[in-house]
Amino acid sequence: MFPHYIAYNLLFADLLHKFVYIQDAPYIIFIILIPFLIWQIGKHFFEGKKALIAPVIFILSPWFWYEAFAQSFYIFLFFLTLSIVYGLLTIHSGRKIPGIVIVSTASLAAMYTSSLFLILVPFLFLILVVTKITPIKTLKYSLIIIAILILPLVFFIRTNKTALKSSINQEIPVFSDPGLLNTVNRYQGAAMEDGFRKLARISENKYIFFSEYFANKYLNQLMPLTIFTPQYKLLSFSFSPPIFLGFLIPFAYGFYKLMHEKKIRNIIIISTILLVPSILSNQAVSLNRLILFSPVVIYIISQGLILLYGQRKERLAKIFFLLTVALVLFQIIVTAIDIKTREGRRFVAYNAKNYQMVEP
Amino acid sequence: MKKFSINLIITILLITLLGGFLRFYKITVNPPSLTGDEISFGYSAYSVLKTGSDEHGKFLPLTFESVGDYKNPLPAYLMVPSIKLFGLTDFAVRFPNALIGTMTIPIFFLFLLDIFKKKKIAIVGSFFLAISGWHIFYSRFAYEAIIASFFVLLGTWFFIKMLDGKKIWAIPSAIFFTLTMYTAFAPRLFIPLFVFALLIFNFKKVIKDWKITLLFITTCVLLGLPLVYTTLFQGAGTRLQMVLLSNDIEFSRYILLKYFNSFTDLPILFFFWIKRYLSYLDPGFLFFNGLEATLPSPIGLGIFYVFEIPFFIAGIISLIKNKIPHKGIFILWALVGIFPDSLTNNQKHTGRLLHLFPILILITTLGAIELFNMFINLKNKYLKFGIISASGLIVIAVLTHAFLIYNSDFPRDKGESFDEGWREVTYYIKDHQDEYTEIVIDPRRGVAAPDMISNPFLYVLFYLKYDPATYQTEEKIMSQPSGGPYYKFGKYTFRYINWQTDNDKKGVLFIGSPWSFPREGLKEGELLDKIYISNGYPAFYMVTPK
Repeated sequence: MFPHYIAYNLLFADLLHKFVYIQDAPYIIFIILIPFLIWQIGKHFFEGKKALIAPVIFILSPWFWYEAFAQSFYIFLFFLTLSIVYGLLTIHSGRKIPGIVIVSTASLAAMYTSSLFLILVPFLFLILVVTKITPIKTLKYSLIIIAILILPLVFFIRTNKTALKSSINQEIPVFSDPGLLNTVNRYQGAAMEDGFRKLARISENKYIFFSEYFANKYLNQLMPLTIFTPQYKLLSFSFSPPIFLGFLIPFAYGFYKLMHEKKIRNIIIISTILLVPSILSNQAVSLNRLILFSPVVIYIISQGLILLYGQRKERLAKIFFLLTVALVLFQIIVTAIDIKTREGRRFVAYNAKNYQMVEP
Repeated sequence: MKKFSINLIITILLITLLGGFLRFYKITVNPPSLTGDEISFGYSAYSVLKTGSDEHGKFLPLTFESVGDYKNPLPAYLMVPSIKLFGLTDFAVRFPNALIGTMTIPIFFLFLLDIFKKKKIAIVGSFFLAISGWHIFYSRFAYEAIIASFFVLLGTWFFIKMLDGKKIWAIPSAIFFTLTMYTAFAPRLFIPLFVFALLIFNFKKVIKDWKITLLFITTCVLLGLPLVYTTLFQGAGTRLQMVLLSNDIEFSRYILLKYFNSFTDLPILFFFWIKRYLSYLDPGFLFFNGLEATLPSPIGLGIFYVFEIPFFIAGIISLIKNKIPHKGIFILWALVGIFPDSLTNNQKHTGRLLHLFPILILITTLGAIELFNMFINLKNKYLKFGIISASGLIVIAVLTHAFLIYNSDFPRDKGESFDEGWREVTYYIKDHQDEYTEIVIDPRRGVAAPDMISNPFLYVLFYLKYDPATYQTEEKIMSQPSGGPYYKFGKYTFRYINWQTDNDKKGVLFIGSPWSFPREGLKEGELLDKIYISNGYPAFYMVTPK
C-alpha cells in the first residue's frame, strides 16, 4: 500500500478534542464491499449478469485502487454514500426494516464523521423528496431515527462551535481561498482607475465572480477530460487515468441514450449533488472527492456497453464495441508498464512530501 | 426564396458596421503596442514595397526570415498595399487584419444563408461573430490566423458548392485552401488533413465527378509545391520541429521523467495526446479564461462569453440530433480542427483555433435558436418574464465585464508581452539621435525579471522608417569578443549595458530597462527620461554618462 494521507480526524472526535481516525484494516473491508454494493445497486437497473459489468469496470479502474491504497477518507464516505443508496433501494423494493437500518446507520455514520456530510446528507434527502424520486413515506422512519440519534452531535456542536468551524474550514476550503476576492479587487481597481467604478461594481463583484467560478467548477467535474484522462492527477502525482479512456465511447453512447428517458435523466441530474464535495474543495477538481460520483459514470458506461453489444450486428456499433475493448486492453498494458517503470519515481519526485509515512 | 430584401441588407450592414467598429475602434492604442511579430511583418512589407526584397535582401521571398524563426509570406504581402496607402504606421500594420476580420462577418452571413437557406441562422450567426470577443481580440492586431480562418471559411464554402455539383467552384476552393497554408502555421497540418477527410467522407460524390476532383487536387498540389520546397529547404520546417508535442515540458519532465527518444515511448505519447485533444473542451478554456487577455485568473474571457454556455450545450445537441445540411462536413471540421494545435507543445492557444470559428459560432447559433424556440413556446408568462429578465441581466453583466477587460485590464496586464514601450523608445531616439555619436540599446526588459527581447532593432528600423535599401547593403556587426548578444548597424548598437565599464562613455545614449543600470549609482543629470507602460511601471531609462 501507499503510505497514506495524513490521517483525517473524524468530526465527532474533533468536537470532543480527541484524535480518532480510521485504521488500516477497515479499508480492506471497504475494498471488498464497495464493488459488492455497486453490483447490488446495479441489480436494480440491469438484469441478471449484466449487473456485474459495473463492478468489473470499477475494479478495473485505477481511480478505485489508488484511492483505496492511499486510504483516502473519501473511500470511507464513498462506502457510506453507496450504503445510503443501497438502503433506499432496499426500502423501495419492499424490505423495509433492513433498508431503514442501513439508511439510518450509514447516514448517521457519515454525519458524525464529516462536517460536509452533516450538510450534504439532509440536502440529499430533501432533494429526493422534493423531486418525488423518493416519497417522504419511504423515508419517514429513517428520518425519525436520524433526527433522534443526531441529537448528541448537535449537543457537542453547541458546546464546541470552534471545532465545527475548524472542521468546516478543513472540509470546505473553497470559501477561505482569498484568490477569487483578490481577482475581484484587481479587476475593480483597474476599472476604477479608468473611471468605470459603477460598471465594475455591476459586473465585477464577488457574487458574479463566485457564480462564474462555481459554474466553471461544476462543468469541470463532468468533463470527459476529468474522468477519462489524467488531466487531474490521481493522488496528485499519477499518470494513470481515473477510468480507462476506451470507456468514453460507451459512456458517450449510454449518456446520449439515457438522456432520452425523462426519469433516468432526472436521476442523473440529481446525482450531480455528489459533485458538491469536489466543487467545495480548493482544487479545480478533487478526484479524491469526485469518486463519490464515479458509480453514476460507471452505470452509464455499463448501459452504453450493453447497448453497443446488443446492436453488434450493426457495423458502426460493432466497430465502437471492438474499439472500446481494444483501447481498454491497450491502455491497461500501457498503464501497467508505466506504473511499474515510472510511477514510484514520479511519486518520490513530485508528491512524497504530501504523504505521511506509516510506521513499519 | 427572395434572398435579399432591403431589410435583410440593412440588417447585415448594421451587423457588419458593429463588427467593424469593435475591430477598428482605437486599434493603434489597444493592444497598446505592436508585437515583435507585427513589427517584423511590417518592416518586411515595407522593405518589399521599397526594394522588392525583404530586409535580408531576398527578392519576393516565399518565407520571411525573422529572428530565430521563419514567417509566412501572405500576411507580409497583404501589408504592402496597406503600407503604401497609410505609410509605415501602426495602423497600416493592423489594417489588413481588422479589415479581413470585419469582412468575415458578411461572408459568414452569406455562407450560412447559402448552406442553411434560413435567414434567422445567417443573421444570428453573423451577429454572434460580430460581437465575438475571441474574433475581435485577434482581429485587432496582425495575427495571421485571422486571415487564415477567412480563407478556410471560403475554401470550405466553395468545396461544399463543388460537392453540390457546381463544378466551377473547384478551383477557387483549392486556391483558398492552399492560400491558408501560406498564411499561418496551424493550418499547414489542418488543411491537408481536412481536405483528405472531406474527400474520403464524400467518396461517392468525389468519384462520380472524378474530373473535377482531379482538377481540385491538381490545383492544390501545384499551388502547394512551393510551400513544400520552403518547408524542406528554406527552414520553415524549423518551427514545426520546435513546437511538436513530444517536446512538451509536462510530457518529458513529468510523464516520461526524461526526453522522448524512442518508439517505446509512443504509446504513452498517444494517451498524452488524447488528454491534450480532449482538453480543448475544458470549460475554463472555452468560457472563462482561455483568451488569456489578463493575468492568470479563474475569471477572465474565453472563446465564448459565459452567457453562451447554454447555447453551446444546446447547439451540440442540436447538431447531433437535427437534420443539418452537410452535417458530416461540420463535424469533421470540428474534430479535425483541434488536431494541429493538440499536436503542439506547451499551452493550448485560442489563436491557433481560429480556423474553427465558423463551426463553433454555428454551434452557438443553433443552440441559441433552439433555446429561443423553446422560450417562445413557454406558456407561463411569469416564467417568460423571469427568464428574459435574468438573461438580460447576465448578458449585460458579462458584456460589461468583457468591455472592462479589454479597456482596462488587458493593456495593464499584457502591455509588457505586447512589447509596450519600444515605440516610445524609438520616438525618443528619433528626436535626440543627432546629439549622440552612438546609441546603445540593451535588449533585456521586464518588470519582474530582465527577459531577453530578440528583436528590438526591428522597432528602430520600423519607427525610424530606416531606408530598407541602406539596411540591406550596409555593414552589420553581429558579435563582439566579450560574448553576449551583439548587433550593430549605423549608429545603433544592441548589447547588454554594463554600467561599470560604460559609465565613462560620454556622447553615447544608453537605453535599457531599470535592470540595466545600478539602482543608486546614476549621477545627477545622467538619467534623461523614463518610459512608463500601462501597468504604471517604468520600462526604459534613457541615460547618458556625465
